[in-house]
Amino acid sequence: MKLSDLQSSSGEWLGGTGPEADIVISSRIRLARNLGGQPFLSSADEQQFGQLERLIREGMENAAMPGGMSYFAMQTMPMLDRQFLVERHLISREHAYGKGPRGVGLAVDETVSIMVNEEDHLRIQGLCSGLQLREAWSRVDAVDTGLDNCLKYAFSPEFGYLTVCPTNTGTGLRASVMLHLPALVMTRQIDKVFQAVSKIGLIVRGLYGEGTQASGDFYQISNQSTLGKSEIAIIENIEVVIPKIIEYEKTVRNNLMHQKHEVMEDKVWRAYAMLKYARVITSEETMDLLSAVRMGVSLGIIQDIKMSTINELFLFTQPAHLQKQKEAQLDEFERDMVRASYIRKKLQQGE
Amino acid sequence: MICESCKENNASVHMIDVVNNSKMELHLCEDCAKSKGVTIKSHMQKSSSDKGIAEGLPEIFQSLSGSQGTAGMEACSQCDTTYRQFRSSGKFGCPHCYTAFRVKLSDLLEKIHGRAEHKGKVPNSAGGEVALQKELQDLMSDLDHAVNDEAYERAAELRDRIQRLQEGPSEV
Ligand SMILES: [Zn+2]
Ligand SMILES: [Zn+2]
Repeated sequence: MKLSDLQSSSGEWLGGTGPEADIVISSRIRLARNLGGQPFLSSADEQQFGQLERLIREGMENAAMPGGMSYFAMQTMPMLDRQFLVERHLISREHAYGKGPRGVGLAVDETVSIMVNEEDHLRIQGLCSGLQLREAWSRVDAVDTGLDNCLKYAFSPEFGYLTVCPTNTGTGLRASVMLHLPALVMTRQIDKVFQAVSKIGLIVRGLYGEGTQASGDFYQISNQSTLGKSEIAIIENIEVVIPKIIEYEKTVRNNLMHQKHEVMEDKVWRAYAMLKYARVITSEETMDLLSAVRMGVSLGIIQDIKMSTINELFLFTQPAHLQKQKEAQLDEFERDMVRASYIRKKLQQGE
Repeated sequence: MICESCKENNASVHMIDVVNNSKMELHLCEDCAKSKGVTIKSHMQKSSSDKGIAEGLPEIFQSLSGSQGTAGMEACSQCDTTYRQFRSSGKFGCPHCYTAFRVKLSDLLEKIHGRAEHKGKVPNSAGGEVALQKELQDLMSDLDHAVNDEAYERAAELRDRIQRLQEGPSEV
């Protein structure tokens, strides 16, 4: 597989077909693993760093990977490609720009990626569309078991899988769900969600767009503790709470539709008009407007656009994706123009 | 500064730690510190002035109740990371650190995760025996819960499974 193959696809997780896809964007599972009898990267010197990368890469080649896997070295990858993988949520920002030999293994359908030499020796990650934590877990679990046969993991019966940072030890599992909650944000009730969720040991984070400005309507909910519960118990703890948040968001949306119908329609159609006719548009503005249109599609205010089109627009309007399409380095203003023209074309096709 | 224990002598042993984001301090005179079983290491003994500060108050408090006290200077035999280094960076140097700092770590992990005992997946390399023990432990704790909840049907079911596991691994 070549990286360019990814360009034409948009990843299974953006399909907008998963359960509860109008509110749940994606479900993610991440496992942290390290090799036994080897130094952690936190204390490895340059030579050890390289040896570890080689050792893991060879292990990955020998392991039976469901669906096959392609490996890419990070240090020889052009910056634009690295940024592209960050936008795809296939690698972390830290991994893209970190020092030393590192790499990433990618499943052809983009549902599983393996970061080699991130904070831990291995970070195995699975991404599915909608609310499908168990599906993501079963894919990651299978890859992990395959690797387990070829690599000796650092493990203690008492503390579980041993990680650089004790906040990840035990299962090494972080489960997260990305939610689109515009109505709760609009009515300023999102804080209540934060409070309720933090009481049961979950963490809420905003989704960051280009730069560090949080784009207001997207939130990621994940588990805090990784030790003392089984993988399924950790997943269940999140699964129990997500439907309540979905219900809350839907109730507020319906109330708004009843009480402020015109205001809602106006907000959605204005956003749509801006996207459809703008000639220069920033990444932040795009995110805000797409969020309103997404809600409009979900509420049936806009009927002739597919959810998958909106999801793709979120992804393909990000800087690295735009530049890959144009096959050129673009400065900020050029990107804003290319972005606007891309969105126009996409929305006109949709009619 | 006056010793917090006898409230007479000058306090020359000072222990500071950050627990749950709040700073905890303990100031003792050398006699009281010794009588409470604090092992005063050389870097602390020098402090006739108010400068002898040691890390790891929870451990010192532990040591006050009998066992031996250490001040975070002990290192992992495999990677030389000291407990003090770990507390300032939040990162271990190698898997063996978990063994080297095992005692202190149990407390810390309980603070972070609520529980300090692994439940969940076990790698093949850890061997079938570990996996079996793990499963048994999990079942036993489930059984405790079931009994506490007076879910006797489930409890009976769990008891059967435990018996079968104990009889032989062929049932896994
Ligand atoms: Zn005293
Ligand atoms: Zn170590």
